Amino acid sequence: MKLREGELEFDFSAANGVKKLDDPEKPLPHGMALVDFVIEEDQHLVMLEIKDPSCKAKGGNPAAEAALEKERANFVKKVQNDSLIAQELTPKARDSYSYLHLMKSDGKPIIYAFLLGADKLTLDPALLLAFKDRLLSRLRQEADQPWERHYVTDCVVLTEKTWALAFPQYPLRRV
Amino acid sequence: MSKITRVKLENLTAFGLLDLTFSPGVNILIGANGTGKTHLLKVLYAACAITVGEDAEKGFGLKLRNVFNPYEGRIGRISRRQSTSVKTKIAITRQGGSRLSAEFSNHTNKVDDIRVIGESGWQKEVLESAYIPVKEMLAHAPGFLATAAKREIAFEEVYVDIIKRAFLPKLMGPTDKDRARLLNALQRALEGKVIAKGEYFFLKNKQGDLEFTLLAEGMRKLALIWLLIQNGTLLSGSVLFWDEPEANLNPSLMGDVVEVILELQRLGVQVYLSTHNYVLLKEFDLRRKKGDAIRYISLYRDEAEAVVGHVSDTFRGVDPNTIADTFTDLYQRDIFRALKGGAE
Repeated sequence: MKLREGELEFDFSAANGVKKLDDPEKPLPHGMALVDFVIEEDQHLVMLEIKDPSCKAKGGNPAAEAALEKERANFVKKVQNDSLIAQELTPKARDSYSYLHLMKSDGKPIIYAFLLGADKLTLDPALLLAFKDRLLSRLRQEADQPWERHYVTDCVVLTEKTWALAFPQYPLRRV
Repeated sequence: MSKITRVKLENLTAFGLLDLTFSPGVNILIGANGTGKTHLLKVLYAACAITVGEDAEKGFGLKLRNVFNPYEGRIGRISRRQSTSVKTKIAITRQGGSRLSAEFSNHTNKVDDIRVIGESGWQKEVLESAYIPVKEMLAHAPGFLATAAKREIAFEEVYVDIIKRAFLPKLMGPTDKDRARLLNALQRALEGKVIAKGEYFFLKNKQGDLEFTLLAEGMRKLALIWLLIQNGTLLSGSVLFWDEPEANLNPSLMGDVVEVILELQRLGVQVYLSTHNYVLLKEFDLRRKKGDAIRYISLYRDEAEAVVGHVSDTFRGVDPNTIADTFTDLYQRDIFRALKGGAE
């Protein structure tokens, strides 16, 4: 099954199943922020969140270009001040886990995958690794006490270049 | 003062044939342990040192021996170790074409038997320099110079030299604007300024005079740079050799160090440094401005186990990059662990 998120197209044919959680065409539970996809595999579930600051401007006109540049600058700011992790990626993981649990769909260990569409950014493995460590630490503890339950077993931070390293079974292309 | 433009080494220590052209700005040596980064720094430093002061009388052969300090002073021991006899050749070129060369074999014992060519022409033009070794020495300065002068000690001469340079008095006249800015930036990082009382160095700040033995080793290195700028060792046209600036330095201070190095380069100081540190490399990549001249020199062993070099003027072009490769390996292993069951 091929699914798209913006310009990124995934071929999930090799998966046991895949759900689009963050579907704008369906009403979401109030106050919940959900990840883009949940992929079911034999041994675990993969919650996949995608951010794509490398996408092209919609319409391609100067106004759209300017808006996109602003969006990218805003994205960089969110990475720098950690709000991407604290206010977006972590709440999405937590809410998505709650959603799966309430839907009795959390029967397997969950891995959280964050894909950064970054073909226009230069990101070294060292920086991705540091980002992953910060994300996992936030997933484990958001308040004064760490969560008693490790609701995700681990997380991975990927770019288009490193996607195939983790998920060679799901081809990805930019369309 | 004309800078170094090129070095050609043949059969020196781990090197097979190494032929490198340098940036007039910052030259960054990277490579695994045992690829000769420090050796390259020492050869170039010896060539600079003999243009000034008492080292001018020593000449290149003796200075070379003293900075390497081989067993029993036998210069042939710094030839590349092979099963057969080898001839070692060193040739260094400066802007304007001045050239200094030295030749010896693995059987050469005495400094006098080193064949040095071009020394008098080379020494006509002064090339001020400083070599900062990995181990910090200022805290151990008291008594060190006197001991080194009277006894044979197992320290390479770079350690003696850096203490001597640190002791040089403040440069006469008003401090120019660029140097003042650099000194102020360092003082902010150090939260004080450095003073010497006899052979003892202190960091002077609002709490009083703090002896160097009580100061973190990373801070002592910044203090040393402050001294070298203040006393005019590091001026336009001089050369700074810095072996692993990252040693004992918290990564949060790395940005300050890189900024100082870039500023020195902008003032006209040629810089050679070796590093094993990703943060230092990345700081250069992120802080470099248009016009900054940075060259990365990657040293590695070829199929014959001889060390050779690859040069790049961009961080991305460094190949092989052992530091980045290590992070790539960690990143990959971390992903595989996550997919297999995850972290604790």
